[in-house]
Amino acid sequence: MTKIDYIQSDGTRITVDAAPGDTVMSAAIAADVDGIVGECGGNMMCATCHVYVDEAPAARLPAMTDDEDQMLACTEAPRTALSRLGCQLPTDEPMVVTVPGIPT
Amino acid sequence: MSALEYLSLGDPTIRADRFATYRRLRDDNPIARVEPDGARVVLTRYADVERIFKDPLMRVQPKAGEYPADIGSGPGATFHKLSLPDMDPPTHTRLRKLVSPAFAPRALAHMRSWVERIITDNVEALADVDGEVDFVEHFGMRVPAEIACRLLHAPAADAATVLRRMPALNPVLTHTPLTPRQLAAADEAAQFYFDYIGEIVDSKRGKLGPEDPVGALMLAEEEGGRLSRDELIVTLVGFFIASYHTTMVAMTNAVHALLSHPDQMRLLADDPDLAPAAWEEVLRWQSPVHFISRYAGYDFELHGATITEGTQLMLGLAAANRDERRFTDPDTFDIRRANNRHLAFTAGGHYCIGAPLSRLEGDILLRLLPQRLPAMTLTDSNPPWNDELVFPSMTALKVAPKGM
Repeated sequence: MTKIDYIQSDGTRITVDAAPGDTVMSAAIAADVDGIVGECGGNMMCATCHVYVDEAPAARLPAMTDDEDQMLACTEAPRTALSRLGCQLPTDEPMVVTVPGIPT
Repeated sequence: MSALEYLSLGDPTIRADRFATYRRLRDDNPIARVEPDGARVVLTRYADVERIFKDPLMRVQPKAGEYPADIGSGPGATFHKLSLPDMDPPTHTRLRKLVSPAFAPRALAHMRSWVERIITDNVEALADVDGEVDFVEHFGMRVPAEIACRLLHAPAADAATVLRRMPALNPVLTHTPLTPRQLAAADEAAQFYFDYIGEIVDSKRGKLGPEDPVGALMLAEEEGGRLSRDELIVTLVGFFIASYHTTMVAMTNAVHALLSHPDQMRLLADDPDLAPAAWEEVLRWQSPVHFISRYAGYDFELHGATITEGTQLMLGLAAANRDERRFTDPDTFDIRRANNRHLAFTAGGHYCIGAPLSRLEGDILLRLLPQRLPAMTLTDSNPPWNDELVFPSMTALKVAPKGM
């Protein structure tokens, strides 16, 4: 089990124990973390698992593929240098991510 | 006890007023057991349907890792075994990853110009019609066939030939029991597709770039032989099957919804940028596919009932998309609806791979329609519907493109 912290836009912190094989998206879905929809189940088709990676061993994050880069152009919340798709992030290491606020 | 404790799917009253039935099921019987033995249940609430779709342990195969015995061992069986909608992880995960570049943003950007041309040409053809025309026959059936042929690099003239074999192949791709005669017909159809699509694949190899959906699949195949020729063919036929009927129905539903809600049509005419949202609302309000099946991967509790491993779960997409627990005024057709995360494309690992193409088509059609055919009206406000439980659709939609 690895601890993944999800910070909500109102500042709430939710800590989830990710199971082996989980991604930042699938661990959030299993724990019902608000704001991470994961509509397409990790197929990189929807950008609804967009997160900002606040704290992570950057060197150990997988490199961003072209497909992820293109999907990040379709996020609802603004893309920043910290933006990643949660479905592309393994949970081998503890991580802190911010969940973008849902635009109204 | 509710009168609907046991649901008979053959009951004609379900089809007579579907959305009223779905509402009763959501309210009174959210886990409706289908007669006679309860091995099949119907789920209609958004939260339940969404939960099943997103749970990676729910299956599409009735028995884990087993193929139905009656699919035989011929070309039809190969189709079943290599077809993405019939696959569970880990096989599905691998193939799905290889297939995903086909409709990735890069490929979509290159498709836009030819999809736009096909839709525009057919809207122009409608604009030339004086008096009444059947939208289903003259647009709904033509446009998806032309798009599917262009997608597969098949001559548009072959569309009817390609489509004619679909009904024979279908039984082997679904989970209905097969008679030996149906299996023989399915094998014959499958062999036709292996030959026909195989020839296209072989003639295009090395000539298409990654921006072309077929090219993207071939390149995935060529990087270390990861996608076999059979997998490529079955996937391409799957694109054709999955896109044709659903697109025809969605486009017909869109025109029907907008023409029967003139206020919404006016909003769209005044602001063409509402087109993508209008398309999503059409898919929510009148979902092309009403039910999709999953099988329980383990025993679980839902609304106080135990659902046992292996139970067939009929997930009501159209019912969930009208759930008042999730959508405000769900029966109202509102193209400006916010947070419209409907389940028409399902959700989770089997999320519709062609969704980006559908959205592109919807965007183009709904931008163009109110501008080019502003006076179009329905000439039959009660169009005929087929009698199908899973894929209900209008069999005709009479319109006057230039108005009455």
